[in-house]
Amino acid sequence: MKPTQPIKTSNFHFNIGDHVIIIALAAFWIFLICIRPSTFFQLSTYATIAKEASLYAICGIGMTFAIISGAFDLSVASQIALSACVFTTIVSKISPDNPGLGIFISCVVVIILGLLMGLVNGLLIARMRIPAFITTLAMQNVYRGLAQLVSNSPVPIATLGKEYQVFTSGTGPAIRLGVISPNFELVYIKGLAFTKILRLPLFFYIMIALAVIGTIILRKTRLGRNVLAVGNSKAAARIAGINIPQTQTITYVLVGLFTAVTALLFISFQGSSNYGVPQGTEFTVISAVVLGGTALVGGKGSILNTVIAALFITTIPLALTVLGIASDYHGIINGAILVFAFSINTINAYINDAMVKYRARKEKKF
Amino acid sequence: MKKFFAILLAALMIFSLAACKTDDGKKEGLTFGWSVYDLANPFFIPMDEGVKAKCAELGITLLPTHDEKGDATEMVTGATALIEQGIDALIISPKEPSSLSSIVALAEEKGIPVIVVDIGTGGCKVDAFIQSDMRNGGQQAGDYFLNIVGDYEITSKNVAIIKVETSATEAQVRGEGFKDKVVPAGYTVVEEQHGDSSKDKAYGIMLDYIAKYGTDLAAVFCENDEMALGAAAAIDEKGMTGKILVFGYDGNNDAVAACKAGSMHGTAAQDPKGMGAYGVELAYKLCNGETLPATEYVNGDGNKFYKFAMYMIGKDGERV
Repeated sequence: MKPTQPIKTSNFHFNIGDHVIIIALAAFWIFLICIRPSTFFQLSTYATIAKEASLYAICGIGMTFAIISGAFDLSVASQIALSACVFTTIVSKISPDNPGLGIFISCVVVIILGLLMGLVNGLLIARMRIPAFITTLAMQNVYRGLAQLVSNSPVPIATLGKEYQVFTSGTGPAIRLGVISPNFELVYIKGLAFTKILRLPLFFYIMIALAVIGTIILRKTRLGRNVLAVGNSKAAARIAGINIPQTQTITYVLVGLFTAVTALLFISFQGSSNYGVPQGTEFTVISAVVLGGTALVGGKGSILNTVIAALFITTIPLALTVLGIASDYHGIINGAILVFAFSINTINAYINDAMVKYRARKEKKF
Repeated sequence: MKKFFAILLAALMIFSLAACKTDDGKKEGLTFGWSVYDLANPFFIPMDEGVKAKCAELGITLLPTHDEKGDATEMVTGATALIEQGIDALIISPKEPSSLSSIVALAEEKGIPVIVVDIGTGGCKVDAFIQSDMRNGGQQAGDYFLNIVGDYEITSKNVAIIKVETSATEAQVRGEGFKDKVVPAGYTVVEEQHGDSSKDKAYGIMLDYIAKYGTDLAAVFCENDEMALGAAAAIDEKGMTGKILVFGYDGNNDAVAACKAGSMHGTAAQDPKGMGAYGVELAYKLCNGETLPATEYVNGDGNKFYKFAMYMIGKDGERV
């Protein structure tokens, strides 16, 4: 055979087997459409699902990196709580003549704070060699405690002044497009949490954009490849010359960054800050990542999967409510669905195995 | 592999089509949504019953009760889900009033009324706010305490208060009502900590108070029954039942039983069932285009405030 042309290989691989969750979600939604078309055959329901799921999904992007590297971060819920309390404390201290400035500074501070929290987590885990479980569990309490110190009681954004309401509930002035003037007037959008573009929530588009960025970081940058390598085999990564502590630290900084963005959206969504809220979000986020097919042992993963899994997890409670199942049973059914969904991967593997054996036997190879 | 999944998907779709029904759940008449603080808290169970009974009476379809389970985020997601299902009115007893703004804004967008029952309105403008006359309830407890303290050999002039969580903004005046009556009578309020409506937390706080004051405490007034039961348990454990009088607030069944048993000495009773039913009534009026009944009260956020009368249940578990 004469090699007349170089073999062209594509860098873009999409194997549906790696993305079973997409099929699961499609099947789930189709099932719901048929059972209750009045709710599930309208776009606004999916808009609501997408809006809520985006909080878990964006945090999940960062968490995907952490889990791919073989660890996880239990402190994200507390990080969001601390960020929310810091946010409301700052906006309530900046003069009322400058609401735009207050929001702008708060956003910047929250991002920086998120990076710092991620850095602290990362350094403790990578340099001090404290296991991820212990570190993030302990920091969960620390950040929650700090949040309580910063703001001892719930602060509703709405009462800080009607300009702040535009950041959350949409009862303020509508879109005011403008440039940053010497008086620091900013663009702010009517009800960030309620803004819709083409009938889908703004949060959804932010989620997609960040998912794309996350995927690019994971697949196209050296950092991403290092994270995958470290998760796959630390020993091999070390031999390959990857600076493992640095990779681990940066992974946690990424978690902190995405969690900070989630915190901003969360403040907009919730409309108030309270040191006790949110609670338990870290488990939903980790569930979304694992449900999407990223194994806890690390080494491989997909951000697309995490996003789809977040949509799946968010649909479950809504589906249960709409189907009229009493609140008492929600917990049991939710858990059962998740267990079944987690098993899809293993079931998939068993089926794969069986198919291979069947085909081999058919060709009389064995 | 691809073929397998294609077959699986097709099978699921066929199954789904077979399960298709034309019944799509949209019924004639009004449909209301009801979201409640926490059904595990005995105060809200009669409220839930009241809402359901009134809806049944008025022929209103009520969607399954949304239980916020005492979680602020659950409140926002669940109430939003209720509104998205196309209800005609929302009745809500919010865990976190300060997070109501997004719910209220969405309701406004859909043009449906929002009636808030108890807890607070968190700075939002809603159609009506129903709550017991909190201060008066505290005052009634204070009055009753002054009436019966002579029956016990108590010399202390100190009293303590265990408060509900700070997010229950309107309920803070319960303790104030109690003070309104006992302070002029010569008593000093020595402690006022937040028990956050938790039995366990109040238990711990009461042990604290006992450690600090011993028998130099005449009574403890707890801003709700859950906490009163916790405080009573602490007092019982220290063997001081009857030396420190315990007053609660809500009139829950378990508190009444405790009064009969002697571990509590009174509770200011609310009528959660009545309040829930009244919430449905007001929403029904609004949906039918009627105006709400007049009320001279306006709450801290400028909403129409309908105060519900309270009554006192005494140490034998009977209405005073």
